[in-house]
Amino acid sequence: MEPVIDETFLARLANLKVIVKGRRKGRLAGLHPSPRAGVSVEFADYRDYTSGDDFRYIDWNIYGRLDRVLVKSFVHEADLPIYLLVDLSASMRLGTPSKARYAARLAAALAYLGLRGLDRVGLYPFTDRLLPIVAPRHGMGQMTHVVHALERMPSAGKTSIDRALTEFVSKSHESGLVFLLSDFLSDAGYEEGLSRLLHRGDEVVVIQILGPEELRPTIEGSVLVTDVETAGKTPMVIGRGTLALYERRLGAYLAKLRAYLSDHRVSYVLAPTDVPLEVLIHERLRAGGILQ
Amino acid sequence: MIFASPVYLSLLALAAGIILLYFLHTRRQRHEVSALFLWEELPNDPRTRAARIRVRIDALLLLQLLVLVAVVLALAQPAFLTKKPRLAGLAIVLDGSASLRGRSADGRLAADLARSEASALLDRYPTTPVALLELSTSPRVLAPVSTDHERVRRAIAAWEPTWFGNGTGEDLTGLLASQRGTFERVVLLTDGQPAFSLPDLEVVPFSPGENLALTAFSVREDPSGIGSIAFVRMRNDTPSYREVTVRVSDGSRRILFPALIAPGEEQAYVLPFPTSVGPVFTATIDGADTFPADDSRLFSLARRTEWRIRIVGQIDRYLRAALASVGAVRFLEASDPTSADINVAYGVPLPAGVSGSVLLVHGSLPGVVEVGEDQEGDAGTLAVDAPGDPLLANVDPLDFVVRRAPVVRPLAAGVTLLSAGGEPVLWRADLPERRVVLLAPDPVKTNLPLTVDFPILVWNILHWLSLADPSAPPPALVAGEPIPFAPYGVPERLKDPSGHETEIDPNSVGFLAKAPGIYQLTTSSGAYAIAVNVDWNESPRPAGAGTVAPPAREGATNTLEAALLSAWPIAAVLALALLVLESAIYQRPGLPRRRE
Repeated sequence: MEPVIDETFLARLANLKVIVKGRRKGRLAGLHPSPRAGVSVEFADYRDYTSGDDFRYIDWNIYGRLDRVLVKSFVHEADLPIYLLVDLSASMRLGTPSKARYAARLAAALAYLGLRGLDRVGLYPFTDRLLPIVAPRHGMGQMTHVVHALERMPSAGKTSIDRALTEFVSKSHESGLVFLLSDFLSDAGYEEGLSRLLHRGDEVVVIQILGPEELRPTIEGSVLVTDVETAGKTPMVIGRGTLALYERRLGAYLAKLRAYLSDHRVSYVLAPTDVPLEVLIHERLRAGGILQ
Repeated sequence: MIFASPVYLSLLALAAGIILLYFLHTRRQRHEVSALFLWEELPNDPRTRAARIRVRIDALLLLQLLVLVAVVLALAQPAFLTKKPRLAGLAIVLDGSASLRGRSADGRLAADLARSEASALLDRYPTTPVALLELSTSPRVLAPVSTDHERVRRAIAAWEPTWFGNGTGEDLTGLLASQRGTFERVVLLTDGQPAFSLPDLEVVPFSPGENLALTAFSVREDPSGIGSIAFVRMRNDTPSYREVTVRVSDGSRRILFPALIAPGEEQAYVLPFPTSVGPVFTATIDGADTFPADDSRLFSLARRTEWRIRIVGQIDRYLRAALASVGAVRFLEASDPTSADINVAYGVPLPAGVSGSVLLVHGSLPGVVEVGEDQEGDAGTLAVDAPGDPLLANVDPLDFVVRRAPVVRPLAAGVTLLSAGGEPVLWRADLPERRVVLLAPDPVKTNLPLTVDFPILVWNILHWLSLADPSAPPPALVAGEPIPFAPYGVPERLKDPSGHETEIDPNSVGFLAKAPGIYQLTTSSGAYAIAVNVDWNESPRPAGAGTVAPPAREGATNTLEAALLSAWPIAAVLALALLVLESAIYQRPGLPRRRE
């Protein structure tokens, strides 16, 4: 089996970085601008001098011309917690390569980009609940933990994005950038969980991973359609007409998902597993404003 | 229907296994999806190709079950009870004469028609004892009377007509008598009406096709002693005038002429071959017909194919050359014990004890003729004492010049042909035990060797001498009849037309020529070519009135008897065909395979 991540693949990610749309406070120094003033080299604004300000930041040229004592403030660059929420339900093992494998490699790439950007990266696999996590940490040493966890992730169980996100919010106390990697093929709902995330202030990126057989199925004949998560079955005689109806139904479902995410300003990227991961990262994620 | 091995019917229980496997296979046609809610309540698509494929799969199951049934049936060996007529005995008589090698009016081989009719008779009487007989000049039993019809069928399949002539009623009666039991039906399958009639004999004739035939061909020595005369006769057995080209050859010379023959008519021709030397003559006519065997005929004269000449005394090269020009000549040494066809004594008396015809050249034969010393002086003008004698045919004696002629004293009755000065120069005697020719002068004292006519004279002498054979061989020989050795001498070797040579017991009296052609016979008196033809009567003739086949009849005492008709081969073939069909359908592209 292809490794989750390798040196060559990482080398091709050298020029990329994760984009955060808003300013976040962060806890430690990083590369993302913070709403707080800081001590970076990037000028932010002037303000009136108040007692206790450091004399070194008084702009004496302004004082000479305007006779006002103004103090320069600088952008504070802070780190960012990046949460990688990876769906590990049974439906993710379908396809060749499996959606779970595709998600693992994508998660590893995002983890690498986050750690290289001095961010804290944590891995939160889930099914209908949160599985054992890799807590967010700095440094490339964290990469080993993340990759190790991704290598050993089994796909099983049902999906419940609502329950998993609710549990995630309760366990992680700091808002950050949340990458939600899932096929979103569940009728259990996702709106409540996403609402909790958004309410907490997390910036959410949804990457929906689907196989080509799910997007454009080719099966024909008399088959027993089986849900891998619920084991529900329905016998069908499938022909071109049936497949056209399925694709129409899937399109409606995806449109509804995209509409919801768009209404809540959640970034969305569709990741078919027959699209090479490099193409996804370099083209689709960059085009979606998620990476730069 | 009954089964010879009904135990195999229990294998039909395997059908349950096939059905079980089919449904197991069907259950495994699963398609796993991530979310069933996208598929639920989607309408089926029965009008699509998928539905047709499902039908095809069902057809596969049906075919598999049919294959099983067919295989089980084949193993169980089913048989049907049928009612078939039965006779006390059936004799199928195949006309084995050469005419069966021809084709019928519809283009089929007459032999094939006979085989088909014979097989049909076997099918009609599956339980009747049957004898298969062949009627020709050498009749024989192909399969003795038996109810083992498979054996009879094998004999029918292996049967080929002979080159012999037609058999007789006595031949058929003898064949039937050789078989035990009685024959309720005797059916003769032939290409024409037989020349005999027997009570209760049913004839099934096949109409022969159009034919042009050489109905006669013979050659005889010209009584005048000048070469041969050929006689050829043709018949047109077609409904239209036919122009044919006739070729008659003696091996060195060929006469070719066209002939127009009216339908149903015969034409005969007499052709001279004044200088023929070979013993074998061939006559052919062109034009395609249904019986090519009679488009060519052979004839052999009782001429030697090789002359064995012993020269006693001097050997004159002119004389030797003239002798060698006669044909294939083998010169024997004087001491060679092999008997010679012609003995030549040159300048010496013929030794005692030498048998055979003799050419004396300036030599004596004690008791027959004595040749003395040459006379003094010029022999004078040559006189022709017997003009028109065969020995002088095509020879102009006035060209001969004899300077010294010996004194000749004939002691036996003879004829002086040429003389000089009152003394015989050329003299012959036809004695009971041999023929003798005397050329009295020494050739070196004449101009004979230098004349153009000298080889002709020698050729005439040798042919006249060679006609001294005590008995002439049969003039026209046909395949299937015994050919006696006696006219040719004590037999030594025989080479048949295919080139196969066999040693012959000297006590043998004759041989049976199985096929037409030239047989090379070597005897104590020389080598002979014997021409053997297809019997002249074998040329098919159009069916005349009364040759219509009598309707096949049931025997007067026919009884119906149950017969088992085995059907397992049908079941086996059906099983194989179904298996191939099932495999072909399964292998067709577009059939969905099991999805894992």
